[in-house]
Amino acid sequence: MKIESTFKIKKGLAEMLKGGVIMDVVNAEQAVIAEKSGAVAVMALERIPADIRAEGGVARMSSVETIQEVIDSVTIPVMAKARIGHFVEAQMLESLGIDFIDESEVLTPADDKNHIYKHDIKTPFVNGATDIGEACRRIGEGAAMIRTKGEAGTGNVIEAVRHMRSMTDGINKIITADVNSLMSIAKEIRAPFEVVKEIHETKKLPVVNFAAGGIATPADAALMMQLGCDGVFVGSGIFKSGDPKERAEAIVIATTNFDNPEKLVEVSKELGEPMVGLNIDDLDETEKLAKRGW
Amino acid sequence: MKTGVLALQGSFFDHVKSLELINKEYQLIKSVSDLDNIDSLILPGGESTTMMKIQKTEDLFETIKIKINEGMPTLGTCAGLILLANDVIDGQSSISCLNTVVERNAYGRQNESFEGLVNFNDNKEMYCFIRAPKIISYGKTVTPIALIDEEVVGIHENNIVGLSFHPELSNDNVYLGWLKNFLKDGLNVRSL
Repeated sequence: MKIESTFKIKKGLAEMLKGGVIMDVVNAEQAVIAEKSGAVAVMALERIPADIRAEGGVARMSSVETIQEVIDSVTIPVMAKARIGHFVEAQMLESLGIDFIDESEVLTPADDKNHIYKHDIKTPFVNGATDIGEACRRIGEGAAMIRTKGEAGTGNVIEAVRHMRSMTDGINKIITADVNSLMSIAKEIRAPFEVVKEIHETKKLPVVNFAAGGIATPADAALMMQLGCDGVFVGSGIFKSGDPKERAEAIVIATTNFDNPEKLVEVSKELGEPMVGLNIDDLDETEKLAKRGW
Repeated sequence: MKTGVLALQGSFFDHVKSLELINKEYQLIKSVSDLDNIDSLILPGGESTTMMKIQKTEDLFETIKIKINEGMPTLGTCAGLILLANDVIDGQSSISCLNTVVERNAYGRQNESFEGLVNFNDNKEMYCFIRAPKIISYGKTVTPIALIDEEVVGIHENNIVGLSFHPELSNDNVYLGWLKNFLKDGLNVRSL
């Protein structure tokens, strides 16, 4: 007897990615570099976040050709981004045999009220969140993995830190709450009661939680790991840096050895130039990708 | 003495949870010096290519191989089985101490991943197969210990067990009882 795509199986793949680095790639060549550098998975997208930010326009799911090319070029899991609420892009990614779908605020949203109902799609989903309420809403819709949104394409880790801390505080509040106040918390954070109750009972988020958005150096990755995330996504930080291969390998080793400063020093030597960062305060409110998602 | 759990990447904390349930102390293994005070070893699921890359900085797998060849009870699940196998189709062998040929992701991609009813040491349980490796063949010294339908999904040779699935995501009592015994002496309770 075999049953495919149960929630346990969807969540299970995320469990296997723990302690790893998931790297943004725009073509097969970058995917191969990522795999050789020790990435646990690659994320196929049309343009990396820093370029989406610089060039503007509507950012959509990658072309079918690019996705197919990336799938054919590596043996590690391949993820791809769909626009928020664009369930047809998700259906297409499912049909293409993608291993994980990222319903991502980095792309231009397709629906200003609704996210995708993720239970109906065989492929597991990862969703961004800025706080525990948003994480619970996505889990309620069927997300099998959460990532902090951070502020993608900035090379600035401050938003990822803010979201991770906010998530931890939110989880702790639910864990330590009196059982009688769980419904009131659910109402306050606009979260499904069942997910809040599960966090209270199991004392943890029901799915794996990675950090994303602004991680550019081995130290940034280690910082996020020490703050308690399960692994990291690195987008523009690798292929916008001076020496992508060296930097990718260094971030992989730093993520494993996040609590070992000597190793962090060692891997941070002779890395070349990191990507140029942006100050979050200099961004116009409308330029903040983390605001997307409801 | 503690059980070492390879902690380069992957679902190692799920194995730690199993060890806590059987009251066995554990040591996370990230470098050679972590191997000093262990009497048994678990290699978890995750991405084998990633683990191979990370271990290279100090050739951790060479020391692990010596320990396994000296008779240390060792369990590998999923990627852990790939690390142990002598031959990997479309992949690279690494620790190479289990007389088997495995193929990575041979049950398909994530959409084909499944929960399956496994006969593991004469007990049937639903276990997760996640982009699982397939046991293509094995040597005469190897005993099958887990089957799904007629297909071998778990094997035992001397002090080593390799499973293509994830008992640590289920932690049923039969598995935990088996694990406790196996980590003591590397023997398998019964064979199929």
